[in-house]
Formats: sequence, C-alpha cells, structure tokens
Amino acid sequence: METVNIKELNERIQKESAFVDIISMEMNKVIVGQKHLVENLLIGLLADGHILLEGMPGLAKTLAINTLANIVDAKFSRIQFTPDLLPADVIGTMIYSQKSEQFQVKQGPIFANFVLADEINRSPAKVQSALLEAMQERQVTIGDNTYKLPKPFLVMATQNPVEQEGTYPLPEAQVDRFMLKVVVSYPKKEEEKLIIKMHNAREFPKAQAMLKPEDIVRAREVVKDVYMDEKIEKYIVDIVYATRTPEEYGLGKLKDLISYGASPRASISLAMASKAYAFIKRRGYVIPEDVRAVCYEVLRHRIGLTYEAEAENVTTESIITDIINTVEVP
Amino acid sequence: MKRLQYILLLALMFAGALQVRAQQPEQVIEIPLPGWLQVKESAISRDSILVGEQVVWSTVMEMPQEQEIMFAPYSAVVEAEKAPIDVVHDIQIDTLAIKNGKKELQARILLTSFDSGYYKLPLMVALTPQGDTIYLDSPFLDVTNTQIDTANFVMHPLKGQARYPLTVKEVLPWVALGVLVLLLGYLLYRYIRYRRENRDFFGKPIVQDPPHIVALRELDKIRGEKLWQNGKEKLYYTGITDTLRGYIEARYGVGAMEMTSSEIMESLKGRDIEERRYSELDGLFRTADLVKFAKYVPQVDENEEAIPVAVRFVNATFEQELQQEKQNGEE
Repeated sequence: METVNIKELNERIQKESAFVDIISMEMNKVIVGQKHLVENLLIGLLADGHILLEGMPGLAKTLAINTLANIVDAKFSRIQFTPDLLPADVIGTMIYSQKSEQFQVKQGPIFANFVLADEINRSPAKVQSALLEAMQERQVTIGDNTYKLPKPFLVMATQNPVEQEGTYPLPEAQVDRFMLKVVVSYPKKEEEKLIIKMHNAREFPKAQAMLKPEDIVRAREVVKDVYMDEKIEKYIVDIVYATRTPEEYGLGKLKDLISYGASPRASISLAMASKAYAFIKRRGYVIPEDVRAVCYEVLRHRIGLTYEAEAENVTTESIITDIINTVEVP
Repeated sequence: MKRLQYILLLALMFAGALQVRAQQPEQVIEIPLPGWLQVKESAISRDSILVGEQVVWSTVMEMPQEQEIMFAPYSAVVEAEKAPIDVVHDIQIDTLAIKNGKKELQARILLTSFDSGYYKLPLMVALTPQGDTIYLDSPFLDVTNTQIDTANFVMHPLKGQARYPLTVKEVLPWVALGVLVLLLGYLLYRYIRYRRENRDFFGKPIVQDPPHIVALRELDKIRGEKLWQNGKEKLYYTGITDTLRGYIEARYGVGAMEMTSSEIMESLKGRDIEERRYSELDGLFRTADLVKFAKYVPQVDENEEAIPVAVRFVNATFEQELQQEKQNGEE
C-alpha cells in the first residue's frame, strides 16, 4: 500500500496555497461580504471550471471578477449579451485590411483570462453556443486557423432570475458545462452600510496585482495532487447516483420530483471542486465536509425538476439537502 | 390414414342419409330395424312442455357386444329437417350394461322448443361400419303456450331479469378470497402492532440492548480483531468511528451516520458532555479522518489509545445519563 506522508503533503499544500489568503485579503478590500461568491470564484479558478451566477443586478458580480482579474494581473473582458449579439462579436472574425490587402484576424473579447458573460440568456442560442463551445474546447477557430485561449481561462456568466420575458434560457446540455452555479444573495445590513461608506469615501479601494497567471496554472497542478480517498470517490458517486435513482437510497419520495439526474460530468466536477475546496482550506486531502461544501453549487443546475415538483414549489436545493442528509457519510 | 378415410366415409354417409330424409315427404314411414338391434325403450321425460321448457328424450337399445354403431349429431338432423325444436345438449351415449355377449346403450338428448304445436320429433340417425343407415323411431312432443284468460286479463308490469340462484361452486372462490384477505389483514395488523410493541411475530418481546452495551460490545470486538497490528488501520478507525456514530445516533437521536465529523461534534456541543471527553472524541474523529481519507499512518500509541478514548466517551455519556435519570427520579 502506498503511504502518503500527511505532514509532508500538508506542508506542501500550506506553502502552495498561501496565495489563497492573499487573494482573499485583496478581494475583501474591494468586495464587502459575498464571501460565498468569492470562495466559489476561487474554486472555479483552481478547479479549472466555469461559473454561472444567478442574482439580482448590483450584487458586485462584475466587480468581483474584475477584482480577481486585477489581483491575478490577468486580462479581463466583459461581454454584454444582447439579442442582436453575433458569434463573431464574441469569438472574433476576419477583417479585410486595405493596407495589407488581405484578411486579418480580429480576436474577440473571449481572448482574455477572465471573461464576464453578462446576462448570457439575453442572446440567441447561436451566440450562447459559440461561447459554450469555446469554454469546453478552450480554443476558437476563426477562418482556417485555431487559436488557443489563454491560461487560466475562466468564464463567469450571469443570469437574472427575474425578467424572463424575451430571454433564451440555456439548454440543459449547455448549463452542464458550467462547473458551478452560484446563487448570489443580497448583503447583510451591516455589510450594506459598509458599502455605502466605501463609496462615500474620496477614493474607492483598489486591489493590487499580487499574482501572475502562471501562479494560478501552477496551483491548478497542485490541486490535482490533492489526495482523494476511494471512500470519498464512493461518497461522490453515491450522491450523484441518488439524483438519478433516489429510490435506491431510500428517497422514493423524490422519484416523481426529479425528471433527470446529474450527469457523469457532475461527478467529475464534484470531485474537482472538492479538491479545490480542500486546497483553499489548506488541506492536502479531501474529507466529506469538502464534498458537502460544494455539493449545492455543483448539482443545483444539473438536476431537472418535474412539473409536479414545480407545482409543489420543490427546489433543487431542497432535493440536494434531502440527498446529503440521507446518503451515508464515509 | 385408414382411420381418417373411415371418418370421411362415415361423414359422407351421414350427409347422404340426412339429405335423403330431408327430401322425403311429410309422412310417417316405417323403417325396419336390423335384426341385431332391439329398441327397448324410447320416451321423453314429459309429453307436454311450455314454450322454452326443456325435455329429455331417452332411447335404450340392445345389440351384440361387438357391434359398432355411430349416431349422427341430432342438431344436424334437426337442422336438415328444419324441425321447430332446439337441441340444448346433443346426443350422449352411455353403456348401461354388458352381459351375455350383448350390450345395452342409452342415447340421451336434451331438447326444447320455442314454437307451440304438436310435433313428431325427427328420427335419430345412426350408422354401422357395414354401411347401413338406421333410423330410430321418435316420440311426439306437445309444446304449448301459457293460456291467457282474455276475459279477466289484467296487465302487469314487466318483471325484471330472472337470476339463477348462486351455486356453492360460484360462491366458494370469493369466500376463500375474502378469508384470505381477512387473514392477511390480520397478520399485517399483528405484525405492525407487535413491531411497535417491540415483540417478534409470535408475540415474544424482543430484548434490545441499550446503545452503550451495543457500542461497548462492538468496540471490544474491534479490539479483538487486532486490525491495526496487521496494518489495517483504515478498517480499524472506520470500525471505531462507525460504532461511535451508531452510538451517538441511538443515544442522542441525531443522524450521525449521515453527518461529517465536524457536524457530529457540532451536534454534541450543547449536550452537557464532559469537556475532556468531548475534546478526546474530537481528536479521535480528526485522527480517524486522516487515516480514512489521507492515508495517514498513525503512531502506535495513537492506535492503542483510540479504543480506550471511544470506550471512555461511551461510559462517560452513559453514566451521565444514568445520573440525570436518577436526579429526575428524585425530583
């Protein structure tokens, strides 16, 4: 049996994950509250996954990713999705140059380390597809050439939970490409008072560039080394399977409420996100707490509800709660 | 093949005989019987019936034992002759007796009629293997209508459909089913009641050990298995923590089996547990998590101390509860 020196592993993780505290500190300078959002941004960043954000306007979604880009000293771009947006506006196109008398490639805003796709559901399917394909493949083809997207590459797409009229909801297959779906809520009273104070001050605080994109790429490799025991793997598989066949886990009452369960991509995402969470917590191994901590964000957009569930106001969150309260922890 | 040919030949002969009978004029023809056949009796159960009532025509005949005879279906005869009667049960042959080289056969036909009148029933037709056609004489049947006294006739409302009384054969399966359902219902009721009363199927009380006894027994078993001494630390710590989780679940009613270590410790915070035991348990869970999820190989003294820590926690919480119960009793 291969033995892992836990002391050595933890020391390595302590050393490599030191920047997490730096990022958190710098983020806290600018973002008040929204710890959950910041934590999930880090998870997405470290686990090489994309994030779908759902929340009302004005909840510091753009500010959060912009600040993260500043801290990492990375390129940030924002794409406002509108009904008349075209795929070329996202990925780029070929432009004829009169000077050189030939076509030149004009790269789109997707060629950035951090991309904010604001209100992604306001654009038609072809634009959504262009973005989601780039997210998955991490490369874009313009004309005859294929261009690799920069590393790290993190897309944070936002959706507004209200004003659904005239929107193009993301199909299930597309939503599945997002590793996490984070629901952003309003700040607390005290936090909101602090926000006002910060805005009333002469100068709004600005995050400093503390890291290089290469540091994130290196950290990702370390995250992959975080040890995950077979027991944890089984726990993850049990949770995901319980979304597909709840009756096998003594959750027969959920059978009629779930139209489809989470995909194998959910298992992969749950494992990767758990590792990233363990890394953030400065641990070299995954424990069940890590899985439970990321469970809602990984699964909430991957479970389909039936009409019956919607009629009874059952949410995917309540289904996940039932599942994690029933599946035996190793 | 020969049998088939024989049957086909007989069928053709029957058809021919019936055809001949049908073409004959409406008159009584005396057709002599062969010498070997003697009709001993030919009678109907009732001479006169009301329309729709049934009557049995029975014919008893005697013939040599070896003589074969085959009767034509009487419904075919009736059909051919267009007689105003209906065959309810076609011809049925019974052997009544065999003695002195002779056999006595009885042919029975159940008949009815829906046309009133006085009829001579069509003759019974039989064939021999030798190719002879035999016509057996038939009795007369009087079919009458209900006489209506037109002078004192009073209209009555239509009667409902008459139902035959149910027979035991019809009722018995339903009765058996009912009894079975009642029996199953009773057994289910008994099972649920006994389960609630913590008794087995036969009503004997099930003795359930209190949680601390179960936990201590389990811990003792784990100690006896010498798991960590054989390099099975993971199994050793899994066994200990699972036992403790089961104990905590039974003792405090929290779903410890579905909780993580920190959640379990959080749920025990307000339980008035001795500080030292609480921190010992916390340490044990932390070490167990490292062993279970981080391939951590604990020191020998950590392994040796694991079971005593678990036992001390079980004993302390059990004794504490006993004291509380005592105090409550005194109050």
